[in-house]
Amino acid sequence: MSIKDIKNRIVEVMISELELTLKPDEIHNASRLDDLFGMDSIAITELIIGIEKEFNIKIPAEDLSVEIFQDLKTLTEYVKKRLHDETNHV
Amino acid sequence: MTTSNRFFSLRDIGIFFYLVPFRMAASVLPIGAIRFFGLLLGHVYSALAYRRKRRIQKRLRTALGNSTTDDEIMELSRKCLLNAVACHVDAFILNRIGTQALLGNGKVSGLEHLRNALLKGRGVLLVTGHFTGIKMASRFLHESGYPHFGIVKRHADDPGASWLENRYLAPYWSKVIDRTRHEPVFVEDKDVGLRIMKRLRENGIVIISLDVPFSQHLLTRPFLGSERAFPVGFLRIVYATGAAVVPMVGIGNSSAFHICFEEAVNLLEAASKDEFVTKNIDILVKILESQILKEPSHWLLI
Repeated sequence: MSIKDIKNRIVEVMISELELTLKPDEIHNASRLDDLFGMDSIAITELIIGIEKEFNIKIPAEDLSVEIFQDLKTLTEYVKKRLHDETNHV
Repeated sequence: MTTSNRFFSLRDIGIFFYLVPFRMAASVLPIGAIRFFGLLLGHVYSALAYRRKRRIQKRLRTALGNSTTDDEIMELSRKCLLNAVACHVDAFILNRIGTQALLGNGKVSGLEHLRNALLKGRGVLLVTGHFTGIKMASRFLHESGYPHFGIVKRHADDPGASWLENRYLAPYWSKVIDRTRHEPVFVEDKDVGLRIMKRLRENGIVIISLDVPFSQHLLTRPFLGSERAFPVGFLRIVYATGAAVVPMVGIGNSSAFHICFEEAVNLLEAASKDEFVTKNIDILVKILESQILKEPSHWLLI
């Protein structure tokens, strides 16, 4: 799966799980996710579950930190790494 | 932060004495002497704080209805003040008492409910209120090998308090009192939700105080004869993670306590998270209400 596909699917998850009224482009162009829609810490937990379901991955407890949710690029790279790790693990 | 009209109040002097000279004395004096002094202080406070006592009586009347006599209400209000003082005094000596001595001073019931809930492997949210024994319960969990943390507030925004209290004393209070807790997590922190989730993923425990509106997500519900705003953000986490919710009550202090874990709550299923939150907050509010009505003088927010 390409980085672009992962990014697009993450944006879709954000819109559906967090019930955002934003357009995908607005999320793609945002420099920081929390600046964009005032993402509170509860929303992040919902986003995690949504991403796990969408990509069929498990984000381990030790990886749960605000750093991976700072922007879409970091989050996308993290999901790609998880997909890679879990595929290799299987 | 809420602004207050007053710069300073008499209450500030009391808080200052509690946080500085009393705390220092409590770190060196024999524990028995501190308890005796605390009891004395409680009686003096109970006799002098007539306005506070009247407010408590009014709230007790609203909560308990007309089935309780005036004499019973007066006695309960006196106990409320005594218990509150004992609880605050205990905050400074709790960690000076050795584990064996401490655990021999009280009773723990329903621990099997907590164990059963943990067996499901999705973590447990211990839901409680501001009861006198909450710090004791935290110490018990710590000593018994149950990793946990509670959510606390770093900054105060009480419109009834002075500017001085909100700006300096309350944050200092939080800092000093939170030293008695294990791993306090602050509601103001950006990663509070992640830390809750992380702890649940590790099959750990998070203590949630249902009676304080420490959340961006609140719902107002009828409560003890009036209305109160309740935090519901944690229920969204429960909806997402499937963590168990176990009610807990801790009353008393390090000299005599009772910690009770109740059976995990059978949460109602729902088609959406909003429906889940709305349906289940009512169940939890009713549980908290019944806990308080059993021990009204041990609820610190009366």
